[in-house]
Amino acid sequence: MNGEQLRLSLANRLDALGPARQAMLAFLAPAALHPQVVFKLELVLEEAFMNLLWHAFRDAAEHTLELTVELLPDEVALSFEDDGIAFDPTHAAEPPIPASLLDAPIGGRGLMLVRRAARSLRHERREGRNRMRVAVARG
Amino acid sequence: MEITSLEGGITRIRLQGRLDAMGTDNIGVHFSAAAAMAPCRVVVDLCGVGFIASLGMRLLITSARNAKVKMGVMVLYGATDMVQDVLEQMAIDQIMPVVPSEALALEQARAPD
Repeated sequence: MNGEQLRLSLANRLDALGPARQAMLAFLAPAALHPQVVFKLELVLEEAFMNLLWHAFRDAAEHTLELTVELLPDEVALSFEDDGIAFDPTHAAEPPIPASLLDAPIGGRGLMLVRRAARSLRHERREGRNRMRVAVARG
Repeated sequence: MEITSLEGGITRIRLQGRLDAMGTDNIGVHFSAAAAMAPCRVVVDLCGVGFIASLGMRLLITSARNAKVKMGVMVLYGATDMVQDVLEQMAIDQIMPVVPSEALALEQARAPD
């Protein structure tokens, strides 16, 4: 499973997301991935990062999120590591499909988008840290 | 973002760029205000939107609900294939009109409820 890797340490602030996206795109550019694969990876990055921003930390202190982008022969994996509250996305229930616009929840789609984009989703809690790995198929 | 008043009280909102966290934050207030202009018959051109994430969908749903509550309608049109895929995966097309062309969007926006 050895592949090229990009490792980034990100502050839990919204303004860290843009530079992280740019770094990921620059890292992936030589691989000339299909635009749909890149779209999915951008979705995973955005939704996982925003989910951590909103829900992972109970204090106002700055935390560091570790992001690893791994380019493998048949998939690209994004791994997120944080010291936030324990949360296992593989066991979170999805909201039901709404019957009408007025019934539709305003939010709650981030994790669904990650699941739809992913070929596999893994989570482990170890030594007080969440480690989530999301793999997107290359083809 | 370009806002145009069309015949029949229809507002056209033409979006450009990315409906991600930053992009949505940048346009949110103006988009919501434009979508709330009476009589809340709004068509949203997504041709220039290359990316959409959950915050972008949240903005669209919130404004569409507001329009619906005021007896209006919001119609999305012109989504690129990848944006359309995401809208369908999230069943957005099941709760509000999502059509391919501006002509169809205007037709839906004009139609009585």
